[in-house]
Amino acid sequence: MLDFANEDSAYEAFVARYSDGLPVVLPTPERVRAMLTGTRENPDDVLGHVYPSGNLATVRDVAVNAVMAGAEPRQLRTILATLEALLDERFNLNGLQSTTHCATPLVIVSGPHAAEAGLAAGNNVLGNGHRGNLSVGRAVRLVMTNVGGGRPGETDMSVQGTPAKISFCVAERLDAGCWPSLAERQGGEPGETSVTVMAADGPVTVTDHRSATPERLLRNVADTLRHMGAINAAKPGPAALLLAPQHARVIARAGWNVADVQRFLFEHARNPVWRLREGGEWDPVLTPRMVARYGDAEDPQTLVPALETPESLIVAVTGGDSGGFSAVVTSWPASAVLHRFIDADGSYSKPRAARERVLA
Amino acid sequence: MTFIVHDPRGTHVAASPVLAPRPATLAGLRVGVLDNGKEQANVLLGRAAELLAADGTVATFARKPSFSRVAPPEVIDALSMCDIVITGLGG
Repeated sequence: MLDFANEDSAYEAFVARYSDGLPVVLPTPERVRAMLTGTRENPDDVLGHVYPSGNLATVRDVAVNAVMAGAEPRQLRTILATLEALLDERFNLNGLQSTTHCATPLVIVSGPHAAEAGLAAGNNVLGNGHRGNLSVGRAVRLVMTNVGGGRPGETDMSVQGTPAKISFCVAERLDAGCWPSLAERQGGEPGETSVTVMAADGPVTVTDHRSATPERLLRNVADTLRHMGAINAAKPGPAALLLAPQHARVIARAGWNVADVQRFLFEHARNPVWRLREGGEWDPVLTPRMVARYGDAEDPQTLVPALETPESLIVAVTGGDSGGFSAVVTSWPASAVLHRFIDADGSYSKPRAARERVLA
Repeated sequence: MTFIVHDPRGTHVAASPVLAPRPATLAGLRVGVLDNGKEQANVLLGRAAELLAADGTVATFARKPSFSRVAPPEVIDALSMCDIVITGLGG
């Protein structure tokens, strides 16, 4: 507990020392107690070490930062599930927190708990106006900053960062009527909700109001996925495709499923060796070794995928109904895409070996 | 004092890092060089190893396979017999 002369001095100290730059809600004992009604977990349970500081985060510590972020108790389970995934050592939060890259965790929530938690999946889903989405992402960021010690210019060495570092959380549309949800494709049981995390660049918009076939539409997506500024171009890795419902319907109406989308983009989101040599992150030693997995590194026409495997692409349908705007999210490669399930009864999942599947 | 709030920093478990004492001379010391693997770190650190060798100090050279991840146990093991290790960040 911290003791201040009055509320104003506490507020000044918290905004200066413990915020993301914006004002925060003060975590009074009453507010933290109220936040903890959002979970049945023991407040003293430890989630793990948060690096680079290595400080331990308990369920209560997460609730404290959730209060500060402006979250409601109904978002706490999603925040806890997100942190469970981020603290898995395969996610490499230590590296993500200290990298010079701009990356930040993308959080995708798929399943019925998203609506219970007040998470939006419709218009402007990646933007402003959604307290649930924004406060989940912000609470995660505050835990990373306050417990993990990831402070810009001190341990967080990101050269430019991205607005997504403030908050980057979307829910999936379950009513688009195209394919099984991401959670179902991850093996979730009926009623379960998955929380998927990826170390991500900011989103890049894919505009297309013309395409009436999956091939025409997805060639546009492929061009965005393989752009030379992303690390994916020189080092195949994971990525996310946040498909607008309108785009998803174009694809699904042609009889394509998600695996078809993943295979098409694995095949078409590729750069020839000559282009990789001309610019970007071509490493004279390491890149040819990587290229050899896909063909002759000496042949300028050898095509190198932006995705490591077809399954490295996370596909989720999200956004408003009208308009052809999807988003491609490329990745920071030194991290695994992971997910956790929130049970149908709303408790966040403890680490359960059989359910901790690495997507990529 | 009248206004109580929770501390948002979790449980402090890690001591603040303290720099090891600087040796006055490298004479008689076992020296390691750790290349963190980032672009061009090897240029500076390789040159440092060459200069050490010219002075009669043959350094143990190790390279992290990924600059974005902590050094794996085999890299730490390779340097564990050293008295001092020189490292640096490429970019």
